[in-house]
Amino acid sequence: MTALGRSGLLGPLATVVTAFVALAFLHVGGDTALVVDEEGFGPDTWPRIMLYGVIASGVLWGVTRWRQARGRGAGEREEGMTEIDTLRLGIGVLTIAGYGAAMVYIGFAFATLLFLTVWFVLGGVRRALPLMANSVLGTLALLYLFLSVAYLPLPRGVGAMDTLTVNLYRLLGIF
Amino acid sequence: MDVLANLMAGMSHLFGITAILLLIGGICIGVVAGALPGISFVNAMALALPFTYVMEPAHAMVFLSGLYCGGVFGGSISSILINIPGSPGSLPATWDGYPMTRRGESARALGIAITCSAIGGLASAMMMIFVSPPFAGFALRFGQPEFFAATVLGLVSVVAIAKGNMVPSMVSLFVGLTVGSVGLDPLYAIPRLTFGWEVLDNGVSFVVVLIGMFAIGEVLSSASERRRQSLLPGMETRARLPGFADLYRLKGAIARSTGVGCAIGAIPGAGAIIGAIISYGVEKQVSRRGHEFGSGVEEGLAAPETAKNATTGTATIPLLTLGIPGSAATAIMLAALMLHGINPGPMLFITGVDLVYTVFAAYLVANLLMIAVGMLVARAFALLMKIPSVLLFGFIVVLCLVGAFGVRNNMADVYICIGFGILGYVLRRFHVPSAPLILGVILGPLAERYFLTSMISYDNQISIFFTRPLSGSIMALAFAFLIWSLWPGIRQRFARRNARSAGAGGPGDG
Repeated sequence: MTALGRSGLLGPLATVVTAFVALAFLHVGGDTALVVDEEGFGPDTWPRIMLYGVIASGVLWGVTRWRQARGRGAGEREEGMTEIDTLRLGIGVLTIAGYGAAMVYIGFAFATLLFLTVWFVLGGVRRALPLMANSVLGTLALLYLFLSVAYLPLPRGVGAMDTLTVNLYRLLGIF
Repeated sequence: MDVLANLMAGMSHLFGITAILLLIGGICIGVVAGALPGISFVNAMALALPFTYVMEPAHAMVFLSGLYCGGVFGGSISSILINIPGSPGSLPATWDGYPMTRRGESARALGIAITCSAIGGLASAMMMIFVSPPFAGFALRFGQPEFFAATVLGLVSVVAIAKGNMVPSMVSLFVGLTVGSVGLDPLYAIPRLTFGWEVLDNGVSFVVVLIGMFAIGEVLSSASERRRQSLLPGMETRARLPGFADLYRLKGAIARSTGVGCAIGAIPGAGAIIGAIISYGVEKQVSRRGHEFGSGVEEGLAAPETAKNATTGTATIPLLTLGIPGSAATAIMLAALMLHGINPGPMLFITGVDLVYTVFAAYLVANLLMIAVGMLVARAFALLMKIPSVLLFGFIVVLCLVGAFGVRNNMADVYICIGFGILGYVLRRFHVPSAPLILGVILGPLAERYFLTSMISYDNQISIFFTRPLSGSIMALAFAFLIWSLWPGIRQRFARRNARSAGAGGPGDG
């Protein structure tokens, strides 16, 4: 962990910087014509006040953290911080984000099958039968649930994947 | 008498085959989701939301009511049996419930928890039934400034109740309010904070934020921490309901905690966890066995269990009467109503009486059915624990992303959901509560609309919020609430300063 992370100032700093960027965008980034009625309250009044609130509370948070860190002394661990497996976390985030992206290109059905298989393998399910049973049957159950019960127009993919998805739905009798 | 007649009509709607099956299904899903550590009933409610699109509005609310009541209780099963609260409100159940399990009294502990939860829930439902209609009548006198003041009270209380964690809660709330202001403004339809991304013109849906923060955040948290849970060898997971004599012995704890739970439930942002912890603290002070609390005392289990479910009915009062949800669970109910084009508020008690009283009936019946469902789920808990978490979490991710997509049939919401999932994980890591952020996203647009329309109606005079008797009183209440929460810190600071000046003036003088 970095010194900034240890001191607990990383969160407050990131919050304040992000709020400043948003505030700058509100003022400079093409939204300068926001004030419709100069005597009254324009469309930017509310978000501006809220961003000031984020900055003020973020600074207050940083000061509190800084005082707590000083009280704890160097090298001491922050109370309540658990050890995390960064690699597992990173893989988890990437897998979920990849699933979201894949849904557009290869369609919900195939993306879900792929995601569940990868997720289970990464989670330690290695035997072929339980792996396939869970991912294939799980995908089929979810397809019926969302397409036949909830009638959701889930993405079917692009190009050949769209055709493939439609054929799969026809085969399953849900199209 | 109107109330009773309407309640009977609500009961007749509830006892239709579809409605009652949905209620039972909701309770089952709620209790199971609550009992499984890492899932929580709020996640289950968020994930169930897309399925309510295809239901009638009353059926959707019945289903969610069952899920809510069952879910608030469900967390206690894992608290008592494996010392891990299934939902935050069940934390105090680990303090005296698990020690009872270690003594071999798990069946008795489960029985007390189920019965007390049901009693608390029933009392709260009765309170909701008899308080909501007159309160809705009173709320008909509200103008835009009063609605703004009520929203401010809600926002202030979210921060004020987080006494020990006030500053991070404030950060979380303001971030939520900012996120809530993204998109076209309510009066001039000019985009704000959209960064040129047109899909953000319609704003960020709070349902998407909620699914991401709670469910995806929890999946990431569990994936990175490798949690393990297990039952004690040879432990009994069957529940044994307490007899009348047992309940009579616990009557004081049950009565006090019902009062505490009902009162806390009505405060926006407080919810089951605060109700349970405060009632545990009260009971510890009042009970003759207070010094033994933490070692498996029945009162120490009965009090938080009663209070936890006693928050459910009263938490729904602000939602139905003012259209202001005070918790994540009631926010999901608001989303379900809005998806069907229904805006809750005082007018709902005139235009949607059937719906309102069907919900009331559902709360009453759900708390009774919860006893049977709770006993069954407790019995099956050992089996549930055998489901590998990797399987559960895999399906949860799919349900989350599809749930986010289903809100507006839009892939952008899926990406926003993933983004808020990561933010949810980060907030958890920095010990920043996520509930204020969610409430900020929900209440922010309401507050902005009430504020701007008030300003247009009253020539941009901000003083209007303080000079009108009703809005002024609500604002004063919000201010008093804030002072009450800050008071211990101020007093401590004064005490330190006095001690320092006394120390400086003492030995050195003379």
